[in-house]
Amino acid sequence: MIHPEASLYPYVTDELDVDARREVDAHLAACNDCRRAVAEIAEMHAALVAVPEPAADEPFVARVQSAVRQPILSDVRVDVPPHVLHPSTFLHTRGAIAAIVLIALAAGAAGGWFWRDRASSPSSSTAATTSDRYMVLFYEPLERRVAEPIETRRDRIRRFSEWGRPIALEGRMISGVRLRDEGGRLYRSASEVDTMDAAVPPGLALTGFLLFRAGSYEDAARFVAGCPLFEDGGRVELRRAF
Amino acid sequence: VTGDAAEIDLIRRAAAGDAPAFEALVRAHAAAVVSIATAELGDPTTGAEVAQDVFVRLHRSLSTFRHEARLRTWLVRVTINACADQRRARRRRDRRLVPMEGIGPRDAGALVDRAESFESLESRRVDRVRVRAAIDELPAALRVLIVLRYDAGLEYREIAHTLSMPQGTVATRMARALRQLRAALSAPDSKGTP
Repeated sequence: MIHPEASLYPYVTDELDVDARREVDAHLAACNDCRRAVAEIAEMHAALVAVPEPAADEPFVARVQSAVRQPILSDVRVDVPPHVLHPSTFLHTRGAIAAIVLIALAAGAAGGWFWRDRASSPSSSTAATTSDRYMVLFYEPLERRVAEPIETRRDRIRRFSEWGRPIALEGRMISGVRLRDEGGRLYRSASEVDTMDAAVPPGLALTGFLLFRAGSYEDAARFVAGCPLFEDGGRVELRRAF
Repeated sequence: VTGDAAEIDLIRRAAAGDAPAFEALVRAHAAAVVSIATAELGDPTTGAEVAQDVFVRLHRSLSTFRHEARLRTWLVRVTINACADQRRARRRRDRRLVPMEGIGPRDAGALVDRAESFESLESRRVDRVRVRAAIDELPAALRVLIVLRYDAGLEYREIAHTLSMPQGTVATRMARALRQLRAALSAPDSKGTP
């Protein structure tokens, strides 16, 4: 006896055409094994179908909303002087969610204040002594980001723009990358993974960095002071880079 | 959710920049997409990340979305493809690292909620933890079929098309998956065994 194994599930779910269903009916009339199989499939199918689809996870919905809002910011049309922001470090960044910090700086440049303030820059000649590169890493509470209204986001970008303007003014800006608001993973070794909480203060996550030129830690640190992230309980980490 | 007039209207409004309309679409399909990605990748964290990327891609594709297929079907296909990309990337990454064993527990994602609802079915008092465990313990090839059918609501022919798998194979595996689930839930140590 050949058992119609491939037909039992669609038989239970009523997805067989009339002829195929008759064939299964005829087989079931003579086969105890397949009758038992159909009963078991039907019981479990009914149990699963009876349960409604689970509701959407609200934090997930909020994260998606946050992620799709970000391209709005990248729509800012910019005309960035190539010696300030090299195209290879910015324009080639893939995806619309990248480089909010640089967008903020570039948007400011497009707005005109960059060149207005450049003439009054107190130390534009210091770039000649800045042979080393330094990296700023941003930490901030992700919960605040997820539910942030667009107006608040724009205001934060404006404050970032104000804060980062001197770095660009002095010709020190190299690159900056905006990371996604997704937290991350920290590898303790090739096989051990921790959350970011293991390395940074609880509740904070790495959200981006700036790379700029400075002559020493003290030289770089003066740009860190006044970073608006501090107002929200964030942290800034300063490291010298290769 | 089907590709009915209400959903088509939501898609058109979302494509025109209506944020609440897009949120409604996300809300309608989030559980299914997260569940599929989690079942495909065996890791809820990565599953949620991939699911988020799927919805970002949806947002970018709204203006070109053709209403020839249900949105749910489109999302399932994109999710399956994104998970395949993720697995390829993971394999490339793992080749560069010491192989990792047992990265996180396998999880059936939204099916956990389904399991909780089991308890409310008085005629079928199955322990929710055991339901979750039973789904988690299914082989990956069977687990994803359960998710596609009972979370995403695809018919078995749609599942076959989505996975490029013969309909007969899908039907046979689906029957096997349900019988395995039932057997696991009927084990003697299962609380409230029917």
